[in-house]
Amino acid sequence: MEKTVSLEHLWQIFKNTWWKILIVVLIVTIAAGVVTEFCVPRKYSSTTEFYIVNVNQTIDYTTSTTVAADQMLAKNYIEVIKSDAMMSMVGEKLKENHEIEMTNKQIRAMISSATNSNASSFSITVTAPHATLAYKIASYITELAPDLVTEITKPSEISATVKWETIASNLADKAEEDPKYAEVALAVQTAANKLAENEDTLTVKGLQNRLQCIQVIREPVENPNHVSPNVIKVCILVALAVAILTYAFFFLREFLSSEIRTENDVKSLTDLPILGVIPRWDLSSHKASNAYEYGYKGGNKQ
Amino acid sequence: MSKKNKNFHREIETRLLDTTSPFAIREAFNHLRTNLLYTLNNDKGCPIFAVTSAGEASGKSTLMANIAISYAAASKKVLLIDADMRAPMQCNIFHEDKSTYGLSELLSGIERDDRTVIRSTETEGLSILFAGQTPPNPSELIMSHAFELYLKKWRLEYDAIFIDFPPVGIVTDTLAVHKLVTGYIFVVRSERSEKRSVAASLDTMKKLDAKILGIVLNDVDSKILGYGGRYSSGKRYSKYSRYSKYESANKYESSYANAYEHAYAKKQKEEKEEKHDA
Repeated sequence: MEKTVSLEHLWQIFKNTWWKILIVVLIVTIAAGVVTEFCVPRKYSSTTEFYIVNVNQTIDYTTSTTVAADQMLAKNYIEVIKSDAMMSMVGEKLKENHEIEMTNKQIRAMISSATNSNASSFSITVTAPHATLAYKIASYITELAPDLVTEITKPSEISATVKWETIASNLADKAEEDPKYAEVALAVQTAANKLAENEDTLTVKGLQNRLQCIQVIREPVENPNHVSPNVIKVCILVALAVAILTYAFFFLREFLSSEIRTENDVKSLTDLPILGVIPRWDLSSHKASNAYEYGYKGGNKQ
Repeated sequence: MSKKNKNFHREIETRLLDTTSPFAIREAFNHLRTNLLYTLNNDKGCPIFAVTSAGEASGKSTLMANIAISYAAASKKVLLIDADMRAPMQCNIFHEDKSTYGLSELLSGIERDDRTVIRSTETEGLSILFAGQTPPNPSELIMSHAFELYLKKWRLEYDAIFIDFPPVGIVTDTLAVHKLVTGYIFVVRSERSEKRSVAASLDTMKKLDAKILGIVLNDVDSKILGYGGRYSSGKRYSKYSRYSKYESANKYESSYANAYEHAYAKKQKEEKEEKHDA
């Protein structure tokens, strides 16, 4: 007994069960909506956005390569913003100004980030159980992030200089032992000096212009409207899921049933013709007190 | 017998075709009657239709009684035989005492005149031979030469004979006489008959070369009648919903034709009245 499923079969199952599915969907969706509205804690958010200032490039922001490079920078900067250093600073501010004690982990759990794929910017969103708390944390991040990011990312440039100077020093030691290294050691030392000079120039320039790695382009605001839970969104998702699951239930019940229900079931069993289909006799609609009328009247034949 | 089946047996007592029966039911039986006529392939003489099923409570006895009524209503002389001597149902359906003499007494020789055990009914042309009291050897009686002789005799007297046999999946009486009958009507009850048992019963019948005329799907919920495109689902008997206004027709046997004529005459009368008013 091979079972096949046709579109017509699927449609018939739907046609016969749609009202049951609708009832289940309505009940579950209303219940989900009520639970979401009254039982699920609300969450508020506040967002700040930063612009990436790439101090090491002769800038041409029209090229996608530049934007892609900034995307990489953005990821690095987001990591810095989510670092323990930043969380500790924010935590201290909260404690000082609002007497709220939060661990680094708790604060970090409230922070989410997004990079802008079309521009050299990224955003930091703080989601908290209270609108004010979300706003305050976002404000402290906005205040502290530019300096911290600039400070943390700068040592990598210095380390490059140190690296060159170390190589030059090693070569100088070797040159004392073997004069043939003297020329190379001198060249490397010159390069290291030039790198150091450039770095100084850059740093001075940066300080003069108060240039930082990131600059705030959107200040956070206190948003009184909660962002989560979204009752409509939850209801739509629940309704869809319940509709699909309920239909799947009816389909499986039909598909796995061992009883014959329809003409199709009979046809799947045998090639014999179906002589007739007798509908269920609804006695409530049939005032069938007339059984005697067509029943035995007594007496013998003829 | 389970509680569910007992309820079913109680219910069917009142489900005989009459003028108050739902239009859809009447038309379904008319349709079945027509299809049965097609299965005869122009064979002359009195056909002997046997009804059976895979198991109990398929509604075959009520169905058989109603087909017989439907046939009789088409001006045929019909004999309905209850050959299910172990669990006779026709006496319940026609409100007859189970101790009434019937087939078992006739075949065992207790009663020798078939005219004394064949009962007429209110339905013109329909006669019934009840099962009689349950004998110790129903299989032997069914397979007896006497039964064959009586069938030959009744074939000359009636236009159609309907035999209500026990379920083929339970006892073997049904198939023992397969050469005597024109063919079997196999009844499957929707939402009750198991696919496996039906398949097994049909397989058994085929192996014994029993001629199965076709399947009757019985007691189908109007909501699932949409399957196969023969009916639409939703309203009860909705296929016939447009014709339900003709249910006042007196004769169910020609209900559609009569109803159409009745409606046509009514429409003409209304048109005349409108003209008259104008």
